[in-house]
Amino acid sequence: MKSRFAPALAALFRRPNAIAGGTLLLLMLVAAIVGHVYTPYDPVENDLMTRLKAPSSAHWLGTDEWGRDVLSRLLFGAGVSMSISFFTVLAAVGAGTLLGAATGYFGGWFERVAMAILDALLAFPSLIMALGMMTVFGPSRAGVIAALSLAYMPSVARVVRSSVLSVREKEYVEASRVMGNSEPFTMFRHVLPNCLAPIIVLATALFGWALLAESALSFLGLGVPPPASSWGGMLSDSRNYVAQAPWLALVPGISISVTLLGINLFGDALRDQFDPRMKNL
Amino acid sequence: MSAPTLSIRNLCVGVRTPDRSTRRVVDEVSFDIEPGKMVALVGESGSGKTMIGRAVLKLLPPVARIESGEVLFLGRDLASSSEDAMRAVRGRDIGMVFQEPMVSLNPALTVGFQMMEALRLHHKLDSAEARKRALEMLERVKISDPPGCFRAYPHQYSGGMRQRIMLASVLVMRPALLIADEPTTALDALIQKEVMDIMAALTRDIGTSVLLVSHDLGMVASYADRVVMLRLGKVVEAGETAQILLAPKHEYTRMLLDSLPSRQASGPRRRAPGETLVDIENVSVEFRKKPRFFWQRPVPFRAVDRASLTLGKGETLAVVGESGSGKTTIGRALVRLVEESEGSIRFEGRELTALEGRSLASYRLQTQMVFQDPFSSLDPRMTLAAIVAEGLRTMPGLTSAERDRRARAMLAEVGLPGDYGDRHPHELSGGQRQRVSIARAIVATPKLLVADEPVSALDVTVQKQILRLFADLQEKFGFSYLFISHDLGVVEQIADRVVVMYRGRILECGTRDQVYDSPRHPYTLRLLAATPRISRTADEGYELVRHAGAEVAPPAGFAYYAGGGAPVMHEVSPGHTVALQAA
Repeated sequence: MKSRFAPALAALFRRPNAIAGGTLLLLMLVAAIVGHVYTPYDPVENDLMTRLKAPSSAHWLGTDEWGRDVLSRLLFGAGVSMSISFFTVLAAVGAGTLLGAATGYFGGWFERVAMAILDALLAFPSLIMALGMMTVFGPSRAGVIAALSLAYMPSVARVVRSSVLSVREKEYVEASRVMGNSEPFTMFRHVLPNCLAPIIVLATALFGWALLAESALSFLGLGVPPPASSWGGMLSDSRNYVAQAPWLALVPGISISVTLLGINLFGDALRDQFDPRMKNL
Repeated sequence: MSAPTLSIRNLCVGVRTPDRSTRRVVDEVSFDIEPGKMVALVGESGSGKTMIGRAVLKLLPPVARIESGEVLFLGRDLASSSEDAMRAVRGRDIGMVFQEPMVSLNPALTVGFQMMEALRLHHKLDSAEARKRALEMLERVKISDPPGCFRAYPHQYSGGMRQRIMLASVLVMRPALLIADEPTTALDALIQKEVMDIMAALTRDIGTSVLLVSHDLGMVASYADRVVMLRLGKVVEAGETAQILLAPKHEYTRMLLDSLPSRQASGPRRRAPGETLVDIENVSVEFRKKPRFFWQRPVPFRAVDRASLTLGKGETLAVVGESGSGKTTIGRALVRLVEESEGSIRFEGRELTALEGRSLASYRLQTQMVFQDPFSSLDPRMTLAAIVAEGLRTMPGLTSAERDRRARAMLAEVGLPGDYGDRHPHELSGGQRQRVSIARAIVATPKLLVADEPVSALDVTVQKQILRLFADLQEKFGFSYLFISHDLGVVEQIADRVVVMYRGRILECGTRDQVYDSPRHPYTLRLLAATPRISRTADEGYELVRHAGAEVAPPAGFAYYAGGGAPVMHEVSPGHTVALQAA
């Protein structure tokens, strides 16, 4: 495994997309870590004397309606928003892959029942479903992750199932059975690794969606509870002051856009790298 | 002599490679096709034969380009024609038939609509006239119910019928030239002959010249007037068919002809009639067809119907038959990929259905399978050593280092030594992949090897090497070998005994010599007659041999089994049985 992984990684970072996207993501990651270790001001401390101040040497990105330092809130919020997206993707992809693989591989009545339920879930727009679940869970970071991953899981399961269905028919899967390998072994050794490419691509896309969805939930007041900052929350709070203090909307908005750009570039590079036909291009 | 229909002059086609250089796949090729003649382009994969066919119509893949040369069609150079001019030529003046008829016919349109579309477009016929011509043509390709076919959709027909429909819809335009790219490669031997006969007769009547692209030397020898032998994009030899294929001058042609399977003069190694390894008795395998509505019961379909056969230790038994004969299913039942619904399979006297847990695992170590498609039978993400080592995974008491060592030793054994173990399948050719497949199957030294069409996807020269490898390994390890194939030539070369299957039933069974030299069942006779062979004569030349065995009357009171009811296996001579039914 190790001997194959290193050259693949090196090849990945020869792609311009991967370099650009990776740099942007690294930047955001550094911001998130810095935000949890050190911020210029306390991100939740109010200072009504410095309300809605434009960017200056004291407050590089200005202050918000409670006099809180926008840069500090941005840095702190980076960790909150990105960790929510990360765990959402992890949970949605993990559960969706297992469910999709199981339905695709074993078939039968289990597949029919599971797919019927998943299709019913898919019928709801995922944001509406997450909204509904948030009212049950109440606003909290864990609640956002649970709601979003449940909302995204069915589409992951669908994608994984369809690619398992095609890989399942390959002769090397039959060969594995003839060699006396158990079904779970065959599944994890031969079927799933060959479904990896679409899963990775979907995961990067999901990361972006989750980031936006968290923003949307926070915007609607169902996301991360105040006063803790998240990018979506900051965007949502800024709406009353767009005319007086445009930086309040611009700063989290640009951050979200840049992260999405980074994710998409990186996802494109990953997709090309994992598609054997694109290997030499 | 009249002017040639098609005249290709110094044609060069280049393909852009991933590293941005250009590789010539067709290099200075020249040949003519006289009106009404059939010229065959023959060669192995990579010879450029398909590229030439496509270059004539300028339907090359996007990476390929005509670099220089002329394609003179009725005196006009197509190589320099515009795309608009080409569109008028395609279909109307030059027709094309591809290997896979399901891909070339539009599944969403009726046969009639597709046939009339071209007639109305190119010949400006009204629909009544177009309909009349289309029906006429369907009749001439021997479709049983032309008006019914006219209204039907392509998926309602089998591969052979579809290829006839394809022929009809191309020839209804009365093109001056027909390009047929491996038109019968996907079809069974009997159907292949029917389609080729129809094609040859029709084009002769209409006066259409044919450019046949094929790798099948036996077929080319039976139908083509002239042969152009290609190798790596260059013409090796060209001339009258008889002259090229039966008295070749060039070394490469001789090499190709010598690679064709033939009965070994010495005969296969006869092992002393030893113990029985596998005993299959009255075995049926049923599949369930999905019903149309979910409340209906699934319809059972018998892929194998009460078949009995035995396989001795160290013996090679070939199962032959067309697609749907159940030959593959028998092999899959032996390696437990499917289960029989009745009857019994015994391996060294032990009932297979009784196996479970440890005894099933140990049985699986003793039976292995080699698959047909070298491109889908190896996991693309694993190294060759890992692929082969997996064959030893269930063998008790081996460390992973030991497994790796044995896997590499086995790879060397099949001709992939040294650092091949660290490579991935996509770095190998088809023949090399099949070697890996074989190494994986025999690394645990099984007693039984089931091979399902293991060489039918390979070129004849590679096929010869792989068959040689099988023979050497069998000599060395002594496994029994169930060889499933539709290729009677290959079977004749390697089999000790032959079983002929048709629609799930065994029709004839005997030693190779009994089945090939004195076939009894009419189906076996037809099968043999449909497979012309080129074999070496005593004086360095070659001859086209067509099997012409005479029918032998069945025993009094019986007829040869022809479907329905249960057949009786009648022993015509020791070890040679044929299926009969009461007359």
